[in-house]
Amino acid sequence: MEIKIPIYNDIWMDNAVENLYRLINDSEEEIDINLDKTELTVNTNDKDGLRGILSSIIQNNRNTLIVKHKDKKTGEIKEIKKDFVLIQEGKKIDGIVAFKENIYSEPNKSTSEILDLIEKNGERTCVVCGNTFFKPYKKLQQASYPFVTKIKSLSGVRTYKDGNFYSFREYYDNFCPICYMVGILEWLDSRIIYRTFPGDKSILFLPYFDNFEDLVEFKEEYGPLLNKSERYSNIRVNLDEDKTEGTPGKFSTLLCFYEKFLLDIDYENVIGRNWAIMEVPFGSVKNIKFRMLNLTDSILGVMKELIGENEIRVYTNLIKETYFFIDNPKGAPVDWDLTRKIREKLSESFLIDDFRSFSRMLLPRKGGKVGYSSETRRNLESLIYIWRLKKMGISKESLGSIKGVGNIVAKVSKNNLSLLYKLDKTRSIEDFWSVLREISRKLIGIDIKKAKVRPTSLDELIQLLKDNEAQWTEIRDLLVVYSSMYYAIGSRGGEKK
Amino acid sequence: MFGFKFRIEVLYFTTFRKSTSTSLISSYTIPPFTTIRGVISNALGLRRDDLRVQEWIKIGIKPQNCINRSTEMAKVLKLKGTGKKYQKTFSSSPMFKEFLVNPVYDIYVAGDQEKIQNIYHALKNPKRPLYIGGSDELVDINTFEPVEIGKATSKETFCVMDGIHENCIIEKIPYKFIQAGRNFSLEYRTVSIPKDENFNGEAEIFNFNGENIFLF
Repeated sequence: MEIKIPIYNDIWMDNAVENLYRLINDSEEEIDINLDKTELTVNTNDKDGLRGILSSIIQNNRNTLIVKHKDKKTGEIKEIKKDFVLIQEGKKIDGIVAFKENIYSEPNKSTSEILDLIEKNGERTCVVCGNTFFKPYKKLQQASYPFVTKIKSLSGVRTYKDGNFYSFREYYDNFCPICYMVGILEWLDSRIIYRTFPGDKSILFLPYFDNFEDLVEFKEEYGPLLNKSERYSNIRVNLDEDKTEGTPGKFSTLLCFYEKFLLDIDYENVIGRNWAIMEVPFGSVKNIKFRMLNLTDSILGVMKELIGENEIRVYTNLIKETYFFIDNPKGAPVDWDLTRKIREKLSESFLIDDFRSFSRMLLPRKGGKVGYSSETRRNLESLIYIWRLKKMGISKESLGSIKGVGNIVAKVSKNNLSLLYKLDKTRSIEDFWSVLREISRKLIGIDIKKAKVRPTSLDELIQLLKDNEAQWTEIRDLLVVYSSMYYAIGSRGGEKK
Repeated sequence: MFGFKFRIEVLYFTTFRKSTSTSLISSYTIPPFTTIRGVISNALGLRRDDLRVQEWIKIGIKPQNCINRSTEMAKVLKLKGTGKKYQKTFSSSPMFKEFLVNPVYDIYVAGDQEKIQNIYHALKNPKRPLYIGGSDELVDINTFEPVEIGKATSKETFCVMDGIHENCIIEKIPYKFIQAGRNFSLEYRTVSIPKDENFNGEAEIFNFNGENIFLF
């Protein structure tokens, strides 16, 4: 028999085809299987042999769906289904997860039935792939295709019934056995990147390409970075360790993945930059959230350059080292909730190339300020230089002027943050000039020697602004970053030399 | 062959729901061919399930603006009852819904002169109010005069193309319904939707008053 599966141009199904190809290939069984850019072909005269292969890969890879948990009291080892796996589960038997999906509970019988159905020709059209088939093995359900649920209003086509009134004819049945088998086995994909927040949601990341060959290569490359046996996260802290990262959200997870990929993986040409991000909620109703994220070449370039030249990992050496310090000296020094939110937002701003939002995250807030070590500050400066200044064509000397004025803003904002907030909120270059004028006025009131500020930097900044009027927003954002930075240093009692 | 173009502007927001998205509502980037035929059938005042327009015309699509997407949390009503009786209340389910912001498309239709003239007049004076996507998402339609069109070969064009091309959004779009009794099935076409660059490469297209358009 010959099974041909053309590319779906569907995130879930294309990853599922790639996964099926890899599972069969990795099983090292002798079978004629080929995946080119647009099609997977399986050729065999031995249907029983193919059934055996499919059945054994399902049994051998079942561990991808579960984690093993040792009960602290009894010491008993129990299986737990991973939180994001959308396959229904029955009551555990002797601590073993019982899936309510025949292909996982009785793989031998189930694969045999599916292959029998695939072999037959029919006239029904599959709602997912558009090909004709004989009879479905199962209806279209969330377990085999996560984007569906049982909702009659959205699953039918209006038509006549008895010539009198309109009824719905659901199209759940129009789901071919090939799509079922491919889709349901995608849960065995050990290269789905995931991060689970207990009691809240799980986030899944699936790479997207318009051809299978690049998808196979990219997933093959990053496979070693993941540890499938952890419940809440599968990005390894280090390649040779089982411990995984505890990133605070979706963007930080992706950023964390990229820095490891770029530093630890000897990649060839293919670097995926298009991702599908699926959020699977906890609870019984699994209405998922989905978004596509297409990273730009320029952001990937910044990450590469930072790692290549300076060995700086944007997440580990910068964002993960950023904290929100509370002003109250008697209480806990760090607000961890806010720190996690800021880290996530910084990761998002960087990945979507939004420097404005990035700079705003560093502003002091009510009750505290964002702080980091001097080493992290140096890393932040390197990031800003590569991410913004290089592109703008502003020299490192000009950056000195921005830093100088940032220092002035920090000093004059010591007891009154309104100027710093006003600077951040400027919407036109006229507003910006007005704020700079206010800064110059405030300069008169401070002891220049004691405050260690350089008043000439203000003249230099004005000149820089005149020469680069079109880029005034970038200069404003840079000034916000440096003002916040010096404010944080100043309020900690000054920089240690 | 005759053909004409009409511009569809969705007044505010719309969603072209992927039929296989029901635990969330995802949208295609362009109106599916089935949806466009639905608008035309509506303008002609055809009855529900009348699929004749499928056989009459070929369709070309050109997105006119950068299509912005956003997501909202929507309350989706669940269908209850058999349809025989009037139902007053429906349970609902919150769901993430993707929508497009004020999309504008140029739609090109081609076929026999008589059919094209009929469709042209119907779109100018539709029998029923015209909407696209959701039934409360009204459209503004601007029609252009029918012209005689001919096949041409072009190396550069900007419109939705058949198959997979580089630097495009690739989608599998419903092309036509196939009816067998009370059952419907869908035939899909894989299309490439240009983002900002012209297609380079030879393709068989049709010339609509100087515009090179691929027809499906």
